[in-house]
Amino acid sequence: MKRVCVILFACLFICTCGWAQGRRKIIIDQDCSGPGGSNLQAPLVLIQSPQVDVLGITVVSGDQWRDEEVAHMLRLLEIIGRTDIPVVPGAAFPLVRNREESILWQKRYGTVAYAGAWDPRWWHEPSVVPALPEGMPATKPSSEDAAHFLVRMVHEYPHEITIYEGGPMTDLALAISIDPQFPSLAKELVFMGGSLNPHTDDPEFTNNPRHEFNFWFDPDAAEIVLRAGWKKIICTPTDISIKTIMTPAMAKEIEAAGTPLARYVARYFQPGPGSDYMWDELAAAAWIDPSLITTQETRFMGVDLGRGAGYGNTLTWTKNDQPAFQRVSVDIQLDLNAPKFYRMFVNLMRAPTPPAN
Amino acid sequence: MRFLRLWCVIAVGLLLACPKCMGQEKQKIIIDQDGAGPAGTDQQSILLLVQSPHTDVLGVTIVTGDAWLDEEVAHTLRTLEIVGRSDIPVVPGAGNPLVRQREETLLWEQRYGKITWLGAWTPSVYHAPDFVGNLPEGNPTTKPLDEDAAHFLVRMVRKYPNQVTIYEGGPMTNLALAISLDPEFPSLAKELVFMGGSLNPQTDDPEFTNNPRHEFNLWFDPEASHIVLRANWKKIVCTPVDISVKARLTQGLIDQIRKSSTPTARYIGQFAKVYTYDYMWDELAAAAWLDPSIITKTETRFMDVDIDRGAGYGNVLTWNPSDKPEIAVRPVEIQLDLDTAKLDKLFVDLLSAPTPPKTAP
Repeated sequence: MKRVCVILFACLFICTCGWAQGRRKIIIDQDCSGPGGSNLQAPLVLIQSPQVDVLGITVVSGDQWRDEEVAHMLRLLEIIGRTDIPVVPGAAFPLVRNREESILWQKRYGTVAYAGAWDPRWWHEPSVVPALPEGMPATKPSSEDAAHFLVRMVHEYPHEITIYEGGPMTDLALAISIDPQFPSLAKELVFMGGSLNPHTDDPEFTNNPRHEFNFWFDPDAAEIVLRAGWKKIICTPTDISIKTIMTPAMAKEIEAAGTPLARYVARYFQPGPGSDYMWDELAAAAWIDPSLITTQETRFMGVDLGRGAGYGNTLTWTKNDQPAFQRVSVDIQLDLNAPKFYRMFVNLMRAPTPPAN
Repeated sequence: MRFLRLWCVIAVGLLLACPKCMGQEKQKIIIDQDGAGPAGTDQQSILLLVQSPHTDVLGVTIVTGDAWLDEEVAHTLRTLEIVGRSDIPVVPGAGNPLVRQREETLLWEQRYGKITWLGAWTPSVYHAPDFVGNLPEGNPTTKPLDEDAAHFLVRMVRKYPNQVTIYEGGPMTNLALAISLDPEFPSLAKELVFMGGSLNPQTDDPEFTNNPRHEFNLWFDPEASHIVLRANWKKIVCTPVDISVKARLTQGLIDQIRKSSTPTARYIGQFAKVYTYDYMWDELAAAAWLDPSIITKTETRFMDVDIDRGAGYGNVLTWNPSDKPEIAVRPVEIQLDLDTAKLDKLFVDLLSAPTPPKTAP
C-alpha cells in the first residue's frame, strides 16, 4: 500500500513536470467584449486545456472598447481563479481607420451589419467602463502595453510561442513595427479573420463575401501582419465560422457541471442569429486539436487598403495568380468535424480549471 | 389524305397571316456584343436572338472586350452572311474602355495579382488592335454600318421609344457613351438585359475562387459599367457568373445541333469548341430574355461597380434596401438559378432551326 502511494506520487510528479514542460505556450490577443460570448469563451478554451500554457492575454479594441474589454477579461480570470495570467492592455484605436470616417464611408458605400465598439446600438465613449453584469474586477491589468509584452515574450521564449489572434490585428502590427524580428521569433500565428466566399444567407456576407469584421476594423494592421515574416499562419475565416453554432442544449450541458466557469458560460450565453457562431472558439480549439479541421486550403492572403468600397476586404491568391512580391502562405480552414468540436468545447467548459503553470 | 389537305390549308393560311401578326409581336432588341469568334458564346448568343422567330434584331453594336473591335466586327459580319441575315446592321463601337488601359492593367496585375482572362489584352492571344487576320469561317464581303454604336443606339430608342430592349453581352463602353451623349437614352429604352457581374459563385473555377466579385465584362470597363448601372433604366436584368457556372456548354449539345444541316447548325458544328470551364455565359442571358421561365430563382439587389483604382477596381458591389448607401443606386433583377434542361433544349432547337427571314419593315 505504501509502495503504491510512492509510485502514484512519483507518477503524479513526473506527469506534472512533463506536462508543464510540454505545455504549448500561447499569447492570446483578443477583443474581449463580454460577459460570455465568443471573445471570452475562446480564451477559456485555451486556459481550460491542460496542454496549454497561456502566457498572457493582450487586449485590443474591436468588438468593444479596450478598457471595458480589459475589465471583462480580468473579471473572468477572477471567477475561474486564474488571476495569475496577465491581462495586458493594447491598442485603443485602429492604426488608421476611425469611427467618424467610417460613418461617412458607410453612407457612400453601404452600411456594415456590425461595427463592433463603433456600433450605434451600444455606443459609448472609449474610456467609459459601464457596470459589468458579472461584477467589477478587483484585480488590475499589467502596466506594460500589449506590443512590448508580445515582443518581450517572443525574445524570452524564441520559436516557442504561438500568437493567437481573435480580434483586430492592431497590437500585432504595433509589435511588428517596434521589432521586425517579432513574427520570425514567434512559433506561428493563428487567427480568426478574413472571408473568402461563405455559403450563407447571413446578410452580413451576402452582399460582401470578402468582408469580415476583424480585418475591416483595422485593415492597415491586418495587411502589416499578413505581410510579415511568420514561420506559419493559420486562418479561421467566416467560411468555416458560419458552419458552427452554440446551442442552448450545449449551454445547459455545461451549466450542469456546476463550476463557477460553467455557471458563467451558461448565464451569459447569447442565443440568436449572428451571436451564436463559435468564431474564435473554433480557432482556439483547432489549434489544440487540428483533427477538428477536415478541409483546408493554402493561399496567399492580404487586405484591401484602398480607401474605396473594398477597404478592409480580404484578398487571396494562389501560386499562379499572386502579385509580383512574395508573402507567407496561409493555411485556411474551410470545413470541420462539428460534433467533435462541440464535444471538445463542452468537455473543456465542464472541466476543472487547470492550475497556474 | 384529307388530313394532309387540311394541314396544307392551315399552313398556307398561317404563312399568309404570319408576317403581319409576327411583325406586330416581334420584340425589338439591339445586341451590344464583344463579337469574338468564330462561334463561342459571343456569336452563339447573337445567333440565338437572330434565330428566334419572336425577335426583331435592329442591329448588332460591337465593342472591344473578348477580342478587338475590328476583328469582332469581321466575325459578326461573317456570321450574319453565313446565316443569310446581312440585312441586320453591324455597328462598330468603342475600340477601348473609357479609362482602363492595357499597360496600366499589366502593372496592376503585378501589384494585385493576375487576372485569368484579359480578353483582347490576354498575352497568349495578343495582337495589335487594328489587325484582322484571315478568319477561319471566311472573310466577310459585307461592310459594317457607317455610324458609330452610341449614335445608332440613341437613334434607335428615339425611333422606337420604350420598345427596344438593350441586350449587353460585353463591356458596357458603348452604352456608357450613349448615356453620355443622350441622358434620355436609358429611359427611352424598354429595358437593359446584360451578362455580367458576380456575387459569390459556388465553383472551383480558378477565375473566381480568389475573387468572387470579379467578372470580365464589368472589370474590363469599370467606369462604363458604373455609368450604366447608375442610369435611369426602367428595368435592369442581370445574368451573373453565379448562374453562368451552372449553364455548362457540353459537346453533347454541339453534337445535337450538328445533326441539322442548316447554315447556322453547320457553322456551330464546325467552329464551336468546348473548354474545361465553359459556360453559356451570353447564351443564357439571351435565352432567358426569350423565355423567362428558364430562370427559376431571382433576387433584386442594388448594383454598382468599384471604380477605386486599388485591388477591387472593377469588382461588383451589391446592396439590399437595408444596407444600401445614401446615393442613387438602382435595383437590378439578378438571375441566380435555372432549369438547365429547358435552356439546353432552347439552345439546340434554335440553333438547329432554319433562320427566320428579315422582319418586314
